[in-house]
Amino acid sequence: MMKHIFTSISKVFFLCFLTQFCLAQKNDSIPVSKDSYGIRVGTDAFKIARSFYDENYQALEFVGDFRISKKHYLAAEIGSEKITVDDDRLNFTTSGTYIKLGLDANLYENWLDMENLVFMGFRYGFSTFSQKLNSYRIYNTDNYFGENPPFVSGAEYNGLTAQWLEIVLGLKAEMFSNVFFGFNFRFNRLISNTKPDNFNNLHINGFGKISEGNSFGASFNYTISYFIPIYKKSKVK
Amino acid sequence: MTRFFRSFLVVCLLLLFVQPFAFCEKDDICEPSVEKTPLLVIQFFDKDNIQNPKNVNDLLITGSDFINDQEPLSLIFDEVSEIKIPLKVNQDETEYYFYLNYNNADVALRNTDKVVIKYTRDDIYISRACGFKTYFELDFLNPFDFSEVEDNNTNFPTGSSLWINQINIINTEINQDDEAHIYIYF
Repeated sequence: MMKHIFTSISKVFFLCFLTQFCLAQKNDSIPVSKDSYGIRVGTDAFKIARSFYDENYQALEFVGDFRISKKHYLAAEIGSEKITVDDDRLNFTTSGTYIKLGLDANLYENWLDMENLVFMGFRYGFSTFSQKLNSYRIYNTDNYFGENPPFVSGAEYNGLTAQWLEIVLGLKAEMFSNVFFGFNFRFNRLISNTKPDNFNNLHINGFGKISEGNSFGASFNYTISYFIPIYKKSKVK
Repeated sequence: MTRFFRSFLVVCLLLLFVQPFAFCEKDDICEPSVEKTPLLVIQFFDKDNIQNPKNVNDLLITGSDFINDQEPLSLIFDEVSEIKIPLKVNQDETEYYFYLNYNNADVALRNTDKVVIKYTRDDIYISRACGFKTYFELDFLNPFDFSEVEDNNTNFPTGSSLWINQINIINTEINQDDEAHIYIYF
């Protein structure tokens, strides 16, 4: 239910972005305008919402970026996540923290003193996490004795780490005074991860779900952030 | 406006092209070819000529959990000298009734012996889709018992004496089911 409310709200916001962009093109006069430089901090709203409606999920992520030139921003995300995955044959909990650092490039040519972004960027991600195998099922070759109830394990694997690279594509629009709403798609590629003994990393906090024999992942993120202006620069071509 | 849309689209297409299998869910199915919990492999030999394999005829194998059922769930083997049977993964022993000549017209030849196999278990991770498998290791000191069954179940006649003469361990580790783990002489 909560999930449906949130999806509807997301659709409304998405329409607002498009409206914002369309409105931006209609004004004719050209007064002198300046680029705002400052720091933007915010949070991933989707993760917060999911923490409410999904009892197997708890996460908090802070996002930020810092403008270093007309089109480039240093960007970072930092977060912590705890997720319980209840699969057909395994039930496990992964919890940990992660940090992502990188650069975003604004591909959008803003008119007047609009500060919207349609950006592409990359990230280097690092996570430290732990896994707990809650229960599992045994796969029998011959089903003569039938299927047993899941075995309770409780095995813990601590001190695991992982590194990956991301390509980010997204949008950030100023909805009202200095408040930005954004969403982005990420395509991830795992570089390395320490593996638990007699188990595997099936989910890595910050990276997402790991498919067997596959080092790729993807995610969709939704952010709300506040821009703190520090100084302004004349627009340079 | 069109310039960045163009570059945006180009990037998206590039990514889709470069990572064609990024979102294929390879791990949804537990492939039949993946090795799972191994079966216990038994080879039968002639007790009077111990080098010679000997075929069992009409061997009915029933887990002791099922012997009092209306129609006990059983494994049937005929004219073979090698059989493979499952071990319980939720216990450290499996008890079977080995009923030889269950279908034989000569009732006197019908003979059931009880076989108890004892082991320790080790659960090994396979994959997300398959879960875990169990490897067994036969108890070093007391790996099996074979004895007469009680004379009170008409479905499993105890017979005049034990039909199994001897059981030898060939391999205490049951982590594959291509080669024999125990030899039974009869």
